Amino acid sequence: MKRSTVFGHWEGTFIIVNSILLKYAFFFLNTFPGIAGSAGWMVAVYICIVFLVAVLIIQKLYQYAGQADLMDIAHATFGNAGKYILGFGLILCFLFNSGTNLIYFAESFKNSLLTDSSTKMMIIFLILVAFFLAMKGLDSIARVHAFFVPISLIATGIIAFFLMTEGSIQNIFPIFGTGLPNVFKLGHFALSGFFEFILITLITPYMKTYSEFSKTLKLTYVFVSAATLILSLVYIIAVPYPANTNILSVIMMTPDYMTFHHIPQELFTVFSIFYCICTALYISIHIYVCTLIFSKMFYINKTTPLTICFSVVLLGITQIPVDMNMNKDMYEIGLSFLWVVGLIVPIIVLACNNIKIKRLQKEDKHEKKEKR
Amino acid sequence: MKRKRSVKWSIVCLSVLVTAFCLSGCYSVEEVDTKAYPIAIAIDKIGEKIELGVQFGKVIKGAEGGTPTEEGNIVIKYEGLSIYDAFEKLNNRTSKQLSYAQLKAIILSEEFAREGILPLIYSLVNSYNVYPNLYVMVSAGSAVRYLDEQKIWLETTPSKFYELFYDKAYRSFLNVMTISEIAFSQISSQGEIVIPYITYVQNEKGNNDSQDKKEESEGGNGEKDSGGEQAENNIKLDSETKKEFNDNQVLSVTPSKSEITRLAVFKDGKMLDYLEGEEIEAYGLIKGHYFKANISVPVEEDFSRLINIYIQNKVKPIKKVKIVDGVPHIFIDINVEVTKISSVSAPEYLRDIPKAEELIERYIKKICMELVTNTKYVYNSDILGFGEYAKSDFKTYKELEEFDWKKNYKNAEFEINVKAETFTNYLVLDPNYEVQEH
Repeated sequence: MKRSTVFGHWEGTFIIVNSILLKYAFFFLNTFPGIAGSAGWMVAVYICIVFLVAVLIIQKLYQYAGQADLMDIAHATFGNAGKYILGFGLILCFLFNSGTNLIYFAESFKNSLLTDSSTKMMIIFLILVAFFLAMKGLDSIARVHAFFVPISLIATGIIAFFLMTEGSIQNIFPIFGTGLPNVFKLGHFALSGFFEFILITLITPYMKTYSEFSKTLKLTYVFVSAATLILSLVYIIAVPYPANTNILSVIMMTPDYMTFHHIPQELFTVFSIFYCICTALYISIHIYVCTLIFSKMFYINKTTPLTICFSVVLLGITQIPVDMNMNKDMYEIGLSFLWVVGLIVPIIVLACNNIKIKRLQKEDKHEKKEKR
Repeated sequence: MKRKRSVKWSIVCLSVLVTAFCLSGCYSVEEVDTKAYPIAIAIDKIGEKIELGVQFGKVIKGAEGGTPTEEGNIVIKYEGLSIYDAFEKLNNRTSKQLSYAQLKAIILSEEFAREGILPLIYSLVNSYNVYPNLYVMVSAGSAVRYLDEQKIWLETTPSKFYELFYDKAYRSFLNVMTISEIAFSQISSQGEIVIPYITYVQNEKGNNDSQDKKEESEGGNGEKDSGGEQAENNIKLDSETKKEFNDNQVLSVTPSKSEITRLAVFKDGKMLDYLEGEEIEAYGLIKGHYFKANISVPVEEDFSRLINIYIQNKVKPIKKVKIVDGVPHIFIDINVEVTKISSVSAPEYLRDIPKAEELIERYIKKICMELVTNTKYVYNSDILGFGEYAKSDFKTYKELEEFDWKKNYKNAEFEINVKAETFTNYLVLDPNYEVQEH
């Protein structure tokens, strides 16, 4: 089937990069020193190595899957049951993840930009903007990503540079932080930051060729791992442990704690606009993917009503936590299992698919031999 | 089809407009002129109560190039059981809503600082309304009085005054501390804090104002007269200065009767003592803050013979801490750049620069050694933040906590090396040189 929506490797890369790195900019960087103290950068190195292994395996396994997405592969491998289980599981994970993260985003905006506004109003308007974007389809979402995400990346780089100049290298000591075993015991919590990587297996059909998909994988890995290593190190150098485990909005609030020259201080305010746009894009891709999975499960062609439904459901999820402590608990529950969904589930599905394909090929050969 | 598209677009545009209006806060009735913006707050302790002074900046008439016609300084005071109680009462008393977004400085009285400042600092850092890069100072005597005496006539934006005053580039003694720096250093055990300490300039009688204030608080009613006299003197001085400025039509600096010549030393968030004189110079040199400022170096302990040097930290001082048998050994390498030397009483040093450098090195080493010894025995407080450098000697936080740096700091042994290099560029000023030549 020929698709009308097709985009290249840059668009694909920036969708995944925004989905993973936006959390870093807001609150996820706290997780690294939270796990290993001043050795938080070691957690970053560890998860980047694990992520590399996962990326290489997925790339290898996808050679046999062609241009199909994970839902189609699950359907082909496990039948309808597999498709429904995976579909509902993924929808729940995406809604849960975006719901808890959205509260963090709104709370960060309240803290740094709109101190007099209500968090709930901000959530409503972010979902409203994301709904319009999701309604327009993946094509427009991808192209808006390709425009704004590079700007936000440059902005993050500038902020990181200034934070680095204000920090002290002594903050990375004691070298093993709270202990080296913590890096391996609790590292999977940080690995959950790569949950959104699963998006790449869902937008595969929208890429022209396998080589585009392969390039997207490589570029995503380079951007994400470089940002993970640099940002975690800069953050640990800029803010000493344990003060750095408590900052709600890292990229928007940390510059406030420093005394910079006026020009960077003004720049940081301008950059916050791009972070707002990227937040709307983050929510929109989550709503869109939920719609996509659901429409695939039940063969629905008209997706706009579904987009409305998922926007409302997401709004409902954001109303569950009564306070930030409850949201933090929900977010930590998410961190304990999302890495399995983001990295292990695609590998299992693709591996089973490969086994099935090979078995079928063997059977074919066997049949041919028997016929002869 | 076209109609459908236009409907869609109008919905999109409408929703974007609605979103923009709501996010910018335009639905709110809070306008700029319904709010009051304090630029500094002062906190005094009067018995069990807290006196809060809030200074509002007033943008003055004729500020853009013209002559100022009125003072841009309003201070409102209120008492409360706690700071928050005083804030609340103050908020009820003012017609406008207080917004602390423009707050630049917080001045604490010495009495308040001695009881501990950390609960206040932590609550301010976590506050929605206050920006964390807020300067903190300790005032000798009343902090509210300090605000009263600030005459912010000259800056177009009054909050700029504190930025210019406390964040100067060329400084020798000023150790700017913001509430976030204090919070970070205390939460992360990065050493103890040192905050600028405000004293008052001498009045016509030659007494220090802060001493007067102290006497006032210690003495009875009879002391009130001296306070009143002094206030009169202040008013007299004010009117004279103002007249002078108005006559000349040139305003370049803000006259202020307060000055910062000391640094308050803290331990566990409570003020202990203050540094002054050479100790402050040594503090700046060890911390690496010393930037283009003067030091007068006595020749061989003879204070009638001085050489005046203009120096700065060439590079940040190198500090290393090694723990040997549970005893911290602290090594400090200070590298200073001397850009100007002048002397009337000891001209022989101007003709022998290496000898002058040796003298400077000896002097700096002496004052630095005195300071570190005082931090060890007198204050027992790691105000120079060596604990930060000790962390590299431990592998994990558990080891660091078991060692207990704060407890072991008093056993520390110091080694200080000073290197002074002269880059004079013909600016060796020897007044006797020509006389001797001819």
